[in-house]
Amino acid sequence: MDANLPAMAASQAPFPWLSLIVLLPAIGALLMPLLPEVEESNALNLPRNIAIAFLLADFLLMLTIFGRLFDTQAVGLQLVERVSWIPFIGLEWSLGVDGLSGPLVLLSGLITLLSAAASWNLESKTRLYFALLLVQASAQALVFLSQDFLLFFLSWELELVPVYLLIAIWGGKRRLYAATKFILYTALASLLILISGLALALSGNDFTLNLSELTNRSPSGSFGLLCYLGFLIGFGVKLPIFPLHTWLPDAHGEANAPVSMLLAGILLKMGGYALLRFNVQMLPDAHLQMAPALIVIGIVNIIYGALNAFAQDNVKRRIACSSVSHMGFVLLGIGAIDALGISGAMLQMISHGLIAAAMFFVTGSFYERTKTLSIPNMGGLAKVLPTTFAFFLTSSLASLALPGMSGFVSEITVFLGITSQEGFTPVFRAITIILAAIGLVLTPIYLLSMCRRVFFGPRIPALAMVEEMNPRELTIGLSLLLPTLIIGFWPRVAIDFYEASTNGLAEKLISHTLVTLNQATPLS
Amino acid sequence: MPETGALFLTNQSMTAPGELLGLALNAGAILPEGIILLAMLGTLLVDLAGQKAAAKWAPPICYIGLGTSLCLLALQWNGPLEPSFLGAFLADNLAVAFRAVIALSTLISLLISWRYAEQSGSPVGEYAAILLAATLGAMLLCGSTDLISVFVSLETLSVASYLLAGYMKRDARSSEAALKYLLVGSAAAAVFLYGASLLYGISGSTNLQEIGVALLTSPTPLAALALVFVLSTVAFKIAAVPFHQWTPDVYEGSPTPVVAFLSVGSKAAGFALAVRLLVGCFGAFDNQWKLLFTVLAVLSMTLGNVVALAQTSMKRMLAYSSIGQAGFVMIGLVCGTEDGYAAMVLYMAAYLFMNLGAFACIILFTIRTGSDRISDYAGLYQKDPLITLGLSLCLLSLGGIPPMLGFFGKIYLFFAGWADQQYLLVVVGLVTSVISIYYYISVIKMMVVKEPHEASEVVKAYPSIQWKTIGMQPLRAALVTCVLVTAVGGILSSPLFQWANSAVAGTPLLQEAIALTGERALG
Repeated sequence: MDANLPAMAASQAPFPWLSLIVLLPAIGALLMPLLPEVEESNALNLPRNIAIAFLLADFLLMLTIFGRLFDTQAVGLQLVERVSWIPFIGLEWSLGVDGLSGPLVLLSGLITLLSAAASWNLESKTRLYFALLLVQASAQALVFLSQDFLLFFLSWELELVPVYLLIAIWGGKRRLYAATKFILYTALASLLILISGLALALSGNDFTLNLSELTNRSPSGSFGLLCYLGFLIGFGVKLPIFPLHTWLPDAHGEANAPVSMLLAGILLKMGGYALLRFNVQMLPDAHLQMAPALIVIGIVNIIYGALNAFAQDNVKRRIACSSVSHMGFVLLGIGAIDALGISGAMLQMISHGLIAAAMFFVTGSFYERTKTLSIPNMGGLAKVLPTTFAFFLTSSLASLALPGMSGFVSEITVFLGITSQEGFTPVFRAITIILAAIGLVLTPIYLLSMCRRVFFGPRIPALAMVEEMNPRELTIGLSLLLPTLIIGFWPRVAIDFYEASTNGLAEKLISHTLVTLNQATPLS
Repeated sequence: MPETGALFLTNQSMTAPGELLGLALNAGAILPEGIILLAMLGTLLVDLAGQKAAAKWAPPICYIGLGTSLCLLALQWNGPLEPSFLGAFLADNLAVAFRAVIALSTLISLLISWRYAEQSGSPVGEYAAILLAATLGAMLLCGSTDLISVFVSLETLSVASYLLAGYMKRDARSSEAALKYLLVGSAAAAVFLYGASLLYGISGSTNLQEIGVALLTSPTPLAALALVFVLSTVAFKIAAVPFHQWTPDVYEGSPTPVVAFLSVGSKAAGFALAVRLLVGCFGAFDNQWKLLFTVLAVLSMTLGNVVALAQTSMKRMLAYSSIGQAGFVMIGLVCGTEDGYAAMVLYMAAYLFMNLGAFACIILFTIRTGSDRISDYAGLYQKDPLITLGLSLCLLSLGGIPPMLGFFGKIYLFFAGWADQQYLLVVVGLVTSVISIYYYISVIKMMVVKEPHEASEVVKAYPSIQWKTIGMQPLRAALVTCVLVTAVGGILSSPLFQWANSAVAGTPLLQEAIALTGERALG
């Protein structure tokens, strides 16, 4: 490889590492139709093994690239690749990574790999399943890496059909309903994204789709605000934001566990990432205006999601509602418009990605054995499944932000971000903190009561003979929970990765506040 | 320009033989059509030799004819722009592009026809000859620059289409479709003739360019009436709402390969006609026809895509979807910018592949099962993953899902529309595309999601796949080509964009219109 590098450097084109990250799973997906369909459950499951191999290679590649080539101190984009694709519509194959996208790419690599590994026992239509999973992996990486609006939109839409089919084919009883709801919500939301993006691209003197150039444009006034709202609603469906979240409990509840891992672990983060990339970075003026509104919506998310979770009798739906609640903290952090808040939002995304995936994974592993997800139908599982119980409890504790776990660090950072924001009145800050704290108190109640009802209480005879987690499942569970613990004890591991970028973003916001103030003072 | 008063007389003198001698006939421009005519005569001749000879020789004759015609069209690309037949035909790049789309759609329709015709027991030679006649008319229509040649080629296309629609003589629905098409089509032709006669009365010329100049110097209310008449014919041909009523019935009753041709080839000819008449002739009524077309486009997109939701027959669903798709193409026409026209050409070409690919799949399914109901596709994935994949890719492309060709085509249309401030059209287009995704994906859902025990009766009885059958070869080739272009063409679509843009750049008519719109926007 090194022998080739000088030649490439001479032509000013470094090796396209990021393209490799994106394309590797897609190549794997193209191989799938050529493989024989698995007929018997005992036979060698070639599609699964190849998919896991590709995803593992992809993840290792990501680790190498971020470990060796990525400079955590730099603020701007790195490893940029720009190749003109279709010049007539300004489409470029333009990739780049910074602190905002890097950690999420890594997260998506890890979770997709683990989700493929969690689909070990899948029997029907394996080729299609793993092909879709691999396409999904490519699309996710492309969403985080693309630096061209149209490329971003393309990858955003690309992920629509795989997720739809993954839910619709391998989901639970109401899978068709859930999948249709998912695709309609997402497709309608992407209209607003496209329109806002188009309006932005055409607003300046010359047409451009490059995100960095669009960022420099930073329109203000009502036009900027309209674009902001378009993006907010468009990305808000994915995040999800309070009135637009109704697809989520259905989709997460009906999908099978590995797909739920993907949905909760990565898809929701796409919404958060896009909010940071577009709303905050591209439209700082509008963001400064809208930040208090984001905080209010965030509070509604936290409390409404938590209250909703109480009402759910299905384990997965309850976890899904807790996701709505947790993503409220991301909104709070983004709305706090300072370095701490944004850093907290990033950390919350990473940590929730790991924790929610862990919870869905454990749920899936005991669902494979008990064949039920209904809380009233379970009980006394702690005796039968001590390890599963330990895993479930640990991830629940992580989810309720127990100190020492990543959730605690991220949520406390968000709180600090809001309290230290001098731009808000003290009353606003106090009310925000109090309401968010109520949400924090509700989380343990619904999560621990679920643990109690599932794992303690009278033992259900039908569930007495189920088997314990096997080594493969233990490995998957540990690969999700260990990072949570490591980040919890030593948050620097994660924060160093993105801090330069979030600080840069916060500085930009602050400079915009100053500009608006300076402009306002002479007038007054 | 002659004074309007002495129109008739001046016109008479203009067409005096003395002046005509000065103009070159330039018949080389219609050489591609000539080849098709030869191929048509060839198929008719071999048809005389009996069924067997026709079945053996008609296909190669058609392939050679259409292939040569496409090659000749490629040679005409960016060629010198000399009007031929005394100003009745012009082979500019736009005409070449649309003729190529039509010839290609005929080629693919023929490829998917043989097996279907064979199975339904209709004579192959006749069928091919009539389809080639329709192609001939459609191709001539694309380059016609004179009311007379427009009408003659329009009627060639229409009469051949009526025959094709009723080709399944033993099928009552086919005859019904033909009759309906004939009645509505004749009415449309009559309306067109009336409009044309008004135009001739106003300008004293049948040449579209001269009519355009005359209208520009003296726009009269009568001309507006002519516009409405001409526009309704165009709208009938491209099946725009509310001139679409014939489409679902004709599509459902006609033989499927014919529908494939009607939905692409005939529609492309309709759009070429729209450009020639509206852009080339009604430049003076720019705002008026654009407004009317905006209304038609909004109605087509909305009604086509919404009604398609409720369909249970695959062909009917595709009929309504094609109404919606025509609405998308109209966005490009209404824009009237360089990008708008290019997007229109591009989308037409993309539509050719994705729609014919979908038709190839449903024909293959119909041949094997005899059914056309969407619910009968349930569980097809287990029995025939290849058709499932092909149909899914084409439908997703029609719905505008990346990275298929249709996504890029649609994005280009929307870009052009937004840049030209056609916000209403773009928003309606976007919303209706989401609706279209719903019904396209419900077909995919039917095929892929259903478990083996939920499969429909016909799929349970589905024959084991024999991809090696000789008779299936052309159909298979067409299917694979269309699906490949649809799937990979999007990623490699830069040359296609280049092509569409140079089609617009090499057409003086469009360049003038673009300059005119640009001036108006500035002034």
